[in-house]
Amino acid sequence: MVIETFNLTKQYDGKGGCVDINLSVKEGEVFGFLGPNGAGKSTLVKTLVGLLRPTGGSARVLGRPLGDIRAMGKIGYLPENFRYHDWMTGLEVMRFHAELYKIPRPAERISELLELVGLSGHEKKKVAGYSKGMQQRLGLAVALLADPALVFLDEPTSALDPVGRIEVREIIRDLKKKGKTVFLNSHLLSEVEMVCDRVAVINRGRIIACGDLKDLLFENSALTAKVGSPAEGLIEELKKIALQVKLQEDILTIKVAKRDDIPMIAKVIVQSGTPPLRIKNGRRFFGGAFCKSGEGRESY
Amino acid sequence: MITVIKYTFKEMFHKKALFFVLLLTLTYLTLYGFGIKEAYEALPRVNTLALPIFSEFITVGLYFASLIVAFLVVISSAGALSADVESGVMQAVLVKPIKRYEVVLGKFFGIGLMVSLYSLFLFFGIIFLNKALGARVVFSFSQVFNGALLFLWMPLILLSVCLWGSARMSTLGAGIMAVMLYGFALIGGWVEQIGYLISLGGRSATGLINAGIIASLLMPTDAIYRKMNSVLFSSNGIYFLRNNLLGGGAEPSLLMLFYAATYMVFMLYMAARSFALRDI
Repeated sequence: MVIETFNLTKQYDGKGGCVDINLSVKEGEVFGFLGPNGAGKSTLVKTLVGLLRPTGGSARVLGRPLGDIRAMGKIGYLPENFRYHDWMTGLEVMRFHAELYKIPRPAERISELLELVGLSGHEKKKVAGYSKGMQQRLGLAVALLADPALVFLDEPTSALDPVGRIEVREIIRDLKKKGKTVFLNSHLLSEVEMVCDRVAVINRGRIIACGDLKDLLFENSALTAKVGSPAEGLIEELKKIALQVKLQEDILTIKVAKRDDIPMIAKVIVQSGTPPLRIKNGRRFFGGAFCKSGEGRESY
Repeated sequence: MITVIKYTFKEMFHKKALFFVLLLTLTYLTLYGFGIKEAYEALPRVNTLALPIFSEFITVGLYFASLIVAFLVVISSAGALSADVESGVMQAVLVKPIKRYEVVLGKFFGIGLMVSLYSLFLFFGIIFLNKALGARVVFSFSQVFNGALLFLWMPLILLSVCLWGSARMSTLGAGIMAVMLYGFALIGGWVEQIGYLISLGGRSATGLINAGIIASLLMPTDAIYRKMNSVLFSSNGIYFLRNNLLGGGAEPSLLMLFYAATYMVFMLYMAARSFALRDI
């Protein structure tokens, strides 16, 4: 495992932060960490990269304890709220961080990364004159400087325009192709959905769901079926398969436990003699986790 | 650590405060030079009468110079760590294969190098101005060398205190703490010297002298200044500025110098320790 946490806890004066986090992130996967603002996402990432000291539990990153200097050389990190020395140019920032990573002859790598994040031609400008989006691009380039085995990206697209967001997604996919592990912190479901293999959802400091993205997307999903007038006994039959069935006017809302139940639901409706006028998958957010949190919004 | 030293040193050139201090320095040296020129022209030609006055002017010049250097130290180091933490710069720096104590020491050596160069410039500037404008004082090489070392040691002690404050509190908090400690040391030094002058008249002033010693224990910069004075203005075992408010009746002992060195190392250790434990 690239990241393993065991009841990892970081609280501020006994409040906030994240509590009892148990996570395992495998090598080469893009792991999404999703939750509303203030849920504890950044606290966990900052604890994993050694910026915050845990108040409980333990963790290993790249097989080493938190903050271990040997692991740090293989980690890239794009913080959420950061700044670079504004008296430096973009190029100087890259050189400074390359020196901190002790990268020998970094010129080629620097120019390759500046090209990748779309900052070529701006590298000689002072960072103070960079827009927020440009700073975020520079941050991404710095995070990738050491060709890290593990990259933490904390809200990497928060300051980017739609084109920039697509570019970052491409970079993440490319990292995955190269076998890198990416830990993506985001409050945007759409962002996580598009690139992540597995996700964990955090709310009020605790993980409320974790697993394969496809499974979570369907967990406790609701189908809606426009059925006109349902045949007698249909609802009772559906209740045997589904978790919950509700009829409102001519719309049946059926909550299913798993994806595999959907064909069966359709079959029962058809066999009952009720012609379904329309069946729609009400796939939207990680079912139970979302509903349990009681804060259903697509973007947390 | 070399990287942090290099970039900290470079960063100093980009601080507006440095240019403000340089401007202040040039203004000060000009006014001081003009003042001593006028004074020295009016002094009697007899060396025995003029010598204490030359020494007085030099020590006053160095005293104010040490205040300017202290000002530079506080404004450049109170936020050396805390401001980078507050702005988010430190988040990207510390997630690198570098120990936190290396960042603290890198800042110390980077700022310390600049402050030392500046201190030496001021020290030799004052000496040069006095010699060039007519002060008939003869210093041996060892007097000037040891005096210069002691002069640049003062800001390094203050720097270690500032870094400790910066490692564990906000920039404002660290600045206030450093200025207050430096102020204690200055006032403590005067109180101790006043105590010494009173005791010369045959009256006991142990309380005043002890108060000065306690202030020196809290921040030994003033004791180092007085040691520098005694190094510069002693000849054949006679110390010319013993009865001067800025001089040193009770010259700091070797033990006090040892204490000051230990104090600086301890402050740096505390800075490294506090920073290692700080949540970023």
